[in-house]
Amino acid sequence: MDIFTDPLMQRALIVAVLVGLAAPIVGTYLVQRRMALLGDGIGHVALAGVAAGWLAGSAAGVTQRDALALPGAVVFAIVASVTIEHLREKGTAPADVAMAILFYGGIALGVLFIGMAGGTNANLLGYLFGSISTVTWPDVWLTVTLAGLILLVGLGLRHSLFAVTHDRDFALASGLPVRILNLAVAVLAAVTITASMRVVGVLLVSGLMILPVAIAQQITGSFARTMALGMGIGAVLCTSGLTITYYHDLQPGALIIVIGVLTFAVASIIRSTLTRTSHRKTIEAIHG
Amino acid sequence: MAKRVGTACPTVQVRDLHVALGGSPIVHGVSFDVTQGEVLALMGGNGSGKTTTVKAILGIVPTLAGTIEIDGVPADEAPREKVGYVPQRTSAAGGVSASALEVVVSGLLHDRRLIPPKNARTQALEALEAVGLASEARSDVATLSGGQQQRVLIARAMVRRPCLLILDEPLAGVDLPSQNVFANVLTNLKDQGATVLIVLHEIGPLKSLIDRAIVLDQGRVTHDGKPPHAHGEHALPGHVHVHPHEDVSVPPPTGLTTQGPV
Repeated sequence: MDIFTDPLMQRALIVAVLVGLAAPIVGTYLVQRRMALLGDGIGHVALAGVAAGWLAGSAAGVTQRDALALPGAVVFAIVASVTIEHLREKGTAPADVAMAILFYGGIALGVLFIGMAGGTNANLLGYLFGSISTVTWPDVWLTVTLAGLILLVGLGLRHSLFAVTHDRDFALASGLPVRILNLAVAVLAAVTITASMRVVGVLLVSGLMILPVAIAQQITGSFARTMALGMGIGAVLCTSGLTITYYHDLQPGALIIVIGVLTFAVASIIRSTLTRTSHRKTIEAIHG
Repeated sequence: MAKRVGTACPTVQVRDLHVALGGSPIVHGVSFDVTQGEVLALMGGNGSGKTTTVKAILGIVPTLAGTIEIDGVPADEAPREKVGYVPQRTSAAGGVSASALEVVVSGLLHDRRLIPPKNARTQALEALEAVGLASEARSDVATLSGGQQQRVLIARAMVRRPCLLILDEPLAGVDLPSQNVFANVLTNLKDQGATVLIVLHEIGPLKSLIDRAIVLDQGRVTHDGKPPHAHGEHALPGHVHVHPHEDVSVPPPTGLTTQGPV
């Protein structure tokens, strides 16, 4: 049995490719709005949702106690993202303060809920750091649905979403539904975080959204190309990290992010070297 | 250039407008009309409320009281397809690079169109060509000069072929070539019969294009009539000189019915 015939790896690869493609779409909009850390805040609330789902599963007496964990994460993450967007829009609290409140509140609620459900904090570890090797077919179908939604809205409305995130005042003057489009980005972020949770975990989910975009930005100078390249880089990062862990006993989520960070470092060095070379040639040309 | 055939460009009607930002009142009972095909300059010094007034007209900032109508329709319900807006500078967050072409294509979107038309790229390239930036279409706007960036914003407004154009200090900090491009654009629009509302610090080189000027001071109209003289080439920003013999017909502050928020 090899990596492509192992049913466990087949499921993991499907999820990895889908999440790798989808996460940078939302990441591009978040980076554009300078809200790259939004994923962290929402991710921690999603963790509380996981625990709440676990608690609900225990109370309902379902056989598999974490059966409601992902639906719980979806609901909590969407509520959190809409709340952050509302606070930001109304100016009630600065975006970073709102995220910090959610960050700590989410973690605390998650630990409390999981304790009330009779679980241990160890049960949360798979969600904190990812557990792609344990995905089931229902997980795969949920990921297919969530990733499909992200691709459909994130790519289908990319021009409007770009207009709103690039220049809010002009979008308002043009009569675009700015509030609805901003909410769409917030909900997409929540959906992305939930979909990515099984791959890299909530602690690293922002990395999967942001790193491919940051790498792509070292290479290209347009919004559309940054997004497209980011999607490709995200898929490659996820599949390469997963492939390596098939042959070596390493944690897949963490490895994916480490490869991403190293790739960003290499891309940054190459770009700054090329820029310096270009400047030197220009100066030499001026001075003959 | 021929006037638009069969197209009546929108008028703007502002009545007893009050606007506050962050709890501080900025605009106090401003009223004026921009008639069809008129080029109206909204002038005043720093903090006079001119930018806030145009932002209120465009729905960018909320109003406290008063009414704003575009072509007889409340501004927040008026179609924006033929309304162009050139801000003083982009409010872009700027976290991700954006090409000039992408920025101009976004000008084709409005309340009735969330997805650009199939020929969006061609239209955007034509708009960039008109402001002399076709060769920079694929460039990251952040790498362009201030004047070039302002020209991209003009192209973004012009790509939808506006019949009502609102500009907020389009010449502020702009180089001479960009000023010339802008003067050509405004001349063409005027020839086509478009309605134009332009915020200016000083009348400067655009005087021949301006039909009427309104001067604001501390959020109130202090002059409504012929464009005031600037201090020639030595005019300082914010210093508008109004000659006492010029037509001044400021609407009285009372007698206008205060209507609900727009």
